[in-house]
Amino acid sequence: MSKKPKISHLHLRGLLVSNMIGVGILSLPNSLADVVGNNGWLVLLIAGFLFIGLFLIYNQIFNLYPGKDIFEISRETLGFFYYPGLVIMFLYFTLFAAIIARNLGELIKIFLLQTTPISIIILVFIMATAYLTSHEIDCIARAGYFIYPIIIIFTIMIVLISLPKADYTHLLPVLKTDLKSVVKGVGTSSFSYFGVEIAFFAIPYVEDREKIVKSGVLGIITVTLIYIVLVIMTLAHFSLEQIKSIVYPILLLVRQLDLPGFFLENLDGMILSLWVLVVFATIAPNYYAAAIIMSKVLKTKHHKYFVLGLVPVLLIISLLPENFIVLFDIVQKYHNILAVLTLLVIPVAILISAYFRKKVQK
Amino acid sequence: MLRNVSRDIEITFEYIKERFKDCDDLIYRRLEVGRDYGIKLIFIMIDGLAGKTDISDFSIENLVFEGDLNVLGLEHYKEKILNYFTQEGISNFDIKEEKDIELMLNSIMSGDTVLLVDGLDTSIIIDSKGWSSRSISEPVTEAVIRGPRDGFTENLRTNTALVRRRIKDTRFKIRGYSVGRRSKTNVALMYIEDIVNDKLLDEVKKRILEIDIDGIVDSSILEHLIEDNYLSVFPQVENTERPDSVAASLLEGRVALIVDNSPFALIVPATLGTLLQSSEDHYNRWIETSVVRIIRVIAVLTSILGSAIYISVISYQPGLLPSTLLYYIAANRVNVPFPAVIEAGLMEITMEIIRQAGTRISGPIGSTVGIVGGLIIGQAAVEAGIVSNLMIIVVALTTICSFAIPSYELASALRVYKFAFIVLAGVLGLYGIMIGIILLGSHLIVLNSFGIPFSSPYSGLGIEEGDLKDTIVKAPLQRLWMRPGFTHPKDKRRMGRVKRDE
Repeated sequence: MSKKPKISHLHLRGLLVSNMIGVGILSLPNSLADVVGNNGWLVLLIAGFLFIGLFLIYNQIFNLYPGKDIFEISRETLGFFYYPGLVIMFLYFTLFAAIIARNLGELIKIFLLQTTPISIIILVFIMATAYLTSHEIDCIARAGYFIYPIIIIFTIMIVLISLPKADYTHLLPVLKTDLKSVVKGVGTSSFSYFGVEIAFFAIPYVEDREKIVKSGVLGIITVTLIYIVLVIMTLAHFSLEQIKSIVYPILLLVRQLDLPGFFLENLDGMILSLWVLVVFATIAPNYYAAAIIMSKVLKTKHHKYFVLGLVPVLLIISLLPENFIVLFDIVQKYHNILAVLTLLVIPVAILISAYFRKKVQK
Repeated sequence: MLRNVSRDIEITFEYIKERFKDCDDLIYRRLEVGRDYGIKLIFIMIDGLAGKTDISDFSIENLVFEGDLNVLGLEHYKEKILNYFTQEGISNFDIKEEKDIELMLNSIMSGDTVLLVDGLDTSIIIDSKGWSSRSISEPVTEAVIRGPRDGFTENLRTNTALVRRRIKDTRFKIRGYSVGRRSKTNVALMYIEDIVNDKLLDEVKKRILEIDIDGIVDSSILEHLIEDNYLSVFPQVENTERPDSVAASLLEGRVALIVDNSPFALIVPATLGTLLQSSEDHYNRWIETSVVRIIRVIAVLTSILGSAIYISVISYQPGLLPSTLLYYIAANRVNVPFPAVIEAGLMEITMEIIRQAGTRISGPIGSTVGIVGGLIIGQAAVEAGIVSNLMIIVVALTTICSFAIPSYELASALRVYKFAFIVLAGVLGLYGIMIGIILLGSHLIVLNSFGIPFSSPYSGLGIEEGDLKDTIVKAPLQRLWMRPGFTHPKDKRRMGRVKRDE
């Protein structure tokens, strides 16, 4: 077990894409339509560039300390703030995993298993994920790598079957939004880009270092394109006003399609059950991150036991919100603050401190 | 306790007799040669293991009719006598001297004949292995339409020779090991020196040397002792009866093991990709192979998921089906008293029993089992209204599909998962199936075979080396100029680039 895991840059890309695309995408057109109307694509483009910037910051940290993992680096650079930083990150990942699990539970309950209690749905899912999570990052990256083509195929499929009915006049008028709502929209869409922080745990293990930037940036561009394409397709299919009242526009898009000569109907159930795999690839890295941070804080050799210990924790947290609206509030109140700290503040602090230290040493 | 062969022939012989006490299969022949002064000789062998005619014709006959012994003067007696036996007296091909008693006993038990000579402190071992064995015949479990028809036998040397005939290269190495404290089974480790990855080879050697067991009866025992994860359902070592498969794997940079008394050679590492390939894939044309492999993947998925999807659609998501089909199914199931999951479970278990009965009893009775089991029970069950027609179709289909998987072990492993999926589908519907896929997928991702991911070559580690050229779709042979990358071979190239552009 002491063997250092190795992943390839393709695994990194798969991990990033499958970790970023999760439950958020199903409701993304709806939440964007509320804020910026039909200019969701612009907002997504801006957010995509912002997250590419973040990824480059992360990569720069590891360039300064080649061969070291995130814990060694932050212990060196953060000093006193090492443990508080870890705790914040732990809270972020745990809350994120719980939110994803709850989201999935709600979706499954609405579309597939109306009578099953949501606690069972979530528990089964968390337990199934725990098996993979108790292994090292290379296995998790491999899982992401397997899910990656599934996501691409799905997007292409949805686009292809919805093309004939699209009405692009819904996209007009272009660029007619004020700056304030664009900024707000970028904030809203950021939730769909969370997941890029898994690079903390993956970059140090990538074998071909020179390809990290290319592969990672390509991954984030892929995600951005998938989001933009799906938002545009849903907009072209429904009108703006319709989308505002549909919680999961993409599922409804799939449901309304009937393929000539295809013997299955109501594809949304099918798509959603396959979507479980995509959500799995999103929750597993976060779950892993939470467990490994815990094991570093308590200085244990293996994170296996924390994976088991987190099962009830995740279950309880994910069951705390009474309903969907409360869940949404939690995301906006607490999770976004934690996210800003984890994704932006801590890495930037590490980077500045690292630069400072290097200068002092010289 | 005697360590070495004594100069006094009687002491050595008494010791051997003592060790082989109550072993009635030990036979010996006393002989005295030389006219003026007799030299006492004793031939010792195990009856049935050693070829008696060999020893009689080429050793005993020579010695009995030999007058030359008298030519040796007594003064040269001691120096020359050993020389005489090894150089002139015995005309068998393979002769060696052995001083150590234990090693000598070992060679007696592996079918060699030991010649003890009075006055010598060493024994002469004459290779006379000559037990009767099955001749080379067509492999039963891996029949092919196109391709060689010879299969391994129970004899280690015959088996290594079958492979050697296919790779006439001095860099193709066959290393011998002896495994098992009591059984002392010979194991041959085969690899091509300048292709195989050293780490892999060392790992295999290490695992073989670590084995501490009293006996290995078959290669499957060795397989279970060297595999990575013994809790897994999946085989992490490939086995084959075909020498051509072994040769092909060696050329891919893998390592093969042949165990004495077993017609199944082991090949490591085994991955999902290799287990889903049949040797015939390499002999057929590429388009045909590609089509067959795609169908095989469909068969694999059907065999695991077929019943489960049927159950979950019927019991949880009937809305997925078009209404006409739904009415038809409903009409079909209207008299069935069980829920779909019970119905499927019952039929799958029945099918497994029929399959078991069929494999245990071969020949004419076996086909009777098939007819009674498959046709009569199935027909009667439908007519009695216990199960629906569709269920029979689904179960029969999944069973047939599981036979389309080339590796028997993989097929058995997937059968276990089939039952797990039926239970999951019965409890949670399509969501349950997805949970099952997550667990199965995680397991496949986590599993390693000798340090190589079991999910290779799909694991994404060898993509740039062109590993995907020979997976679900097989590229034309002209395009497969690289060896598969997942074994990390030292010599990556297997073919000069063919340039035949018109």
